[in-house]
Amino acid sequence: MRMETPDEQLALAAAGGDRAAFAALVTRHYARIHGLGWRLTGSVADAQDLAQDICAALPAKLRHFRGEARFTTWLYRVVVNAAQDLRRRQMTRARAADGWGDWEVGRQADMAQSTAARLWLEGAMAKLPPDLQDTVALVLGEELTQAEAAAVLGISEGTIAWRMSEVKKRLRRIAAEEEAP
Amino acid sequence: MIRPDDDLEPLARALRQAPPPPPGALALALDQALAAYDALPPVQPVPPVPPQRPSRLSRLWQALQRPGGMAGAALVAGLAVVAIGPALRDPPPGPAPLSAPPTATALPDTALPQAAPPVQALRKAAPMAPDATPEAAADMAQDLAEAQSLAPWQALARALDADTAPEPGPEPGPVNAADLALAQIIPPPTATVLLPSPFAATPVFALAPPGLAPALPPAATGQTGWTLHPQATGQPDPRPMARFAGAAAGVALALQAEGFPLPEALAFAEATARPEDAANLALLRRWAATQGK
Repeated sequence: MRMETPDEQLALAAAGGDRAAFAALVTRHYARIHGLGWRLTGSVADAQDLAQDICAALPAKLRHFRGEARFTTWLYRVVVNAAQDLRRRQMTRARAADGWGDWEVGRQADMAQSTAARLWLEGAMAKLPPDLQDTVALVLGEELTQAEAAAVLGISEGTIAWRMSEVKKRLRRIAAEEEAP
Repeated sequence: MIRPDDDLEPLARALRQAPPPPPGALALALDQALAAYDALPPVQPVPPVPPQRPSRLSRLWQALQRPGGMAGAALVAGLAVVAIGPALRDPPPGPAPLSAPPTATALPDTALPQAAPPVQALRKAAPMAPDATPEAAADMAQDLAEAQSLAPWQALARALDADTAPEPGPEPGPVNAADLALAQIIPPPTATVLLPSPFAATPVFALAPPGLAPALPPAATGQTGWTLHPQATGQPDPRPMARFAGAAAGVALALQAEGFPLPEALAFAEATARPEDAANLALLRRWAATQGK
């Protein structure tokens, strides 16, 4: 029965004290949280920490869920905010060695899983500023529409379109640099 | 779903190959989440909201929907036109007075028009004395400005905002002169920057170009947003400075990302940081020292 219950209904039930509804919600969306966490940070370890932190904070956050937005939109917003907080903490502590910010260190650690595609992805993402990384992770990684991504990030659709166009320009530049002798 | 074009396709393909969570991660996260869930205090039932009386506008609309409602409204409108029509016509030709008659100066003060917008604003600027005369309100606003070393427009804006602006969370600390001075030198940003606060109780902080202040309704974010450059005045709003003193490092970084010169962003962070941010500031300075090398 739980598998068929809409997210929003489960979330409201969980916010109202239904423990089983909360467990069903976490089980249903854990992989999604982890996946977006990876797309936003570029690190499996960070994605795992992020997913666990979010799950532990979710009960308190759910108390504020009013069902005014789709649950997945609300959840994406929670994950993006958590990833931004993580980046900020890492930058503030001058630990530039984490996430996309220092993909070379991550590449050394993750050598076992570093395929050519992964290396290219890391290089490309590392050259994008955080706001473009967030947008790319949602639009290309999570396959959200521009309107959905705009709702998650709290910006206009026009800004999303502009950011994607900017990403395209930068990728072309990267490709040109790679092809240059 | 957006179909990526050729330029974006490799990035999209790579991003969609997210590694699955490691085995046991879900069980561990679920355990922690349920423990947190159980630790929360039980949900308090929300008292029912009493039904609100319909507004005047909705009552008028309902009245117009009734049989004969529109005809009645038309009759009332017609009568009103007949009654006030003569007063709306041009005055009869004749010599118009070019200036106020000298007897006007002899009228008592209460007969003088007092609805000029600046006077009303000054009245609001001195909310502690709502019955004060305009002159007294102006004096009090001036006193307020001098006492707090603020320019009069700043004191006025502050008092006006205190009357009308929503106040999320605890009251921000007093705005000091250093915050204001720094607020003045921050140029309007070219694009909107939203900063989620690292503190749960503090609001979203937005840097936005004048006229493009983002809408941050509580329903959308769960928090109320502040804008540094409010749409109405185009003047910097000093309150976020005080509000975000604890997040000075994050603000400084964001300003820097916005193209604001790093030295000024650092100066802002240093001026607004609380004592407990000393460690963060030290790290921020160390990070800043590595920039531009």
